[in-house]
Amino acid sequence: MRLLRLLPVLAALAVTARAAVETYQIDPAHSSVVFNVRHFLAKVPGTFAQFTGTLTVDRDDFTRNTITATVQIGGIDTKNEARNKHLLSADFFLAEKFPDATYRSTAWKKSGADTYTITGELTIKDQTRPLVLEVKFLGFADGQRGAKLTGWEAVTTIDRTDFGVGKSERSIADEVELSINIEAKLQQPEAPKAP
Amino acid sequence: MKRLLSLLVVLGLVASSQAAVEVYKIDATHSSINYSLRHILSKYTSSFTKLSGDITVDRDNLENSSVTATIDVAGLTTDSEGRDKHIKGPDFFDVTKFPTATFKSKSWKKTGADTYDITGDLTIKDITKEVVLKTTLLGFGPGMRPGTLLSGWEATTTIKKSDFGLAGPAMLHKALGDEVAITINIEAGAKQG
Repeated sequence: MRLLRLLPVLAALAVTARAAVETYQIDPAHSSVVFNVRHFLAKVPGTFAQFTGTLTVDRDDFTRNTITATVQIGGIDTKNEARNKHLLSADFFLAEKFPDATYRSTAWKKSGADTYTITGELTIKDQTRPLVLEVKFLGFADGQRGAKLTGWEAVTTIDRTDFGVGKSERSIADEVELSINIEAKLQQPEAPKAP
Repeated sequence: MKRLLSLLVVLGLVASSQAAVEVYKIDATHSSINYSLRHILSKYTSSFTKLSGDITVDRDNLENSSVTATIDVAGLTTDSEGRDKHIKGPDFFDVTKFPTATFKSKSWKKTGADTYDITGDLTIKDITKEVVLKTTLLGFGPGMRPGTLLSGWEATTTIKKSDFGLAGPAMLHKALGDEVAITINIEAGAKQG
């Protein structure tokens, strides 16, 4: 009899424990991967408009979070058609042969109240190198139509020559600043269809 | 004779002060006006890259410099066609009526070794408001082609969408917020005198 009364409690506990790890899908319409490269003196920005990614969040302990993302190089946009084409060519990304760049986190370390240092591996043109992202957690929020959202910002700098993306030149800096803005949507079980 | 001499001296001064003034044309290919606003949580960034303008630089005293720029708002592209249409439509920029925005500096004030507060008039949708650009001079250098000079600049400011009739539909305004952070990257070229 006592066990019977306990059952719902146990069931609820089990559900909560499972709910602690959530899976979010990056919403590309409200996320961006922005890069800045110095041309002589001034910074020139560009974006990768096409990417997908999955973020798993353990609300009890963010150091157990993970992120994986795939960026389609073909979605590069520097607001200049000729330059976009040049970047996709063999001089830089050779996108025909290497259409995607990928990132996979290997460790999340807390670095402040809402900040984390994410260590992971970035692969561009089949070259895999460690990459550290300095990350800020923006929060959780309710979106439209019952969507559960989470927001993140990250910055890092990479050396494009490490990945064979072009050579060192006087006019274009080796260092590329990356600024990543992520809004991700909680993957929710499909709502049962109305009869 | 004495008067003539002093006149010549004055003319000489005028010439040398003119020589110090260089006119740099903004190179749109390597310049951008980036804006970011928040969508609920995350920042959304895009840029205006169709712009033109002149920076008149007095290297002896940068406080005498000036800048005018015209931004082709109708040429704005984000990474979404649907969003482009919406931003350029009557809810926001209404580009058929107001295809360009302009900036005209009124004063340059030195605030640090390489930093300046540029105060000027920003006009969007025929509404003119004063804004202050927190500007950093990145430097001067030779360009790619012989006999050309480059100057590089970075500037930031914040404007309110509602100040320029860009609030848009109430629900979106609430989601996006009123403040827009602007970062300007300018590379401008001049012919060596």
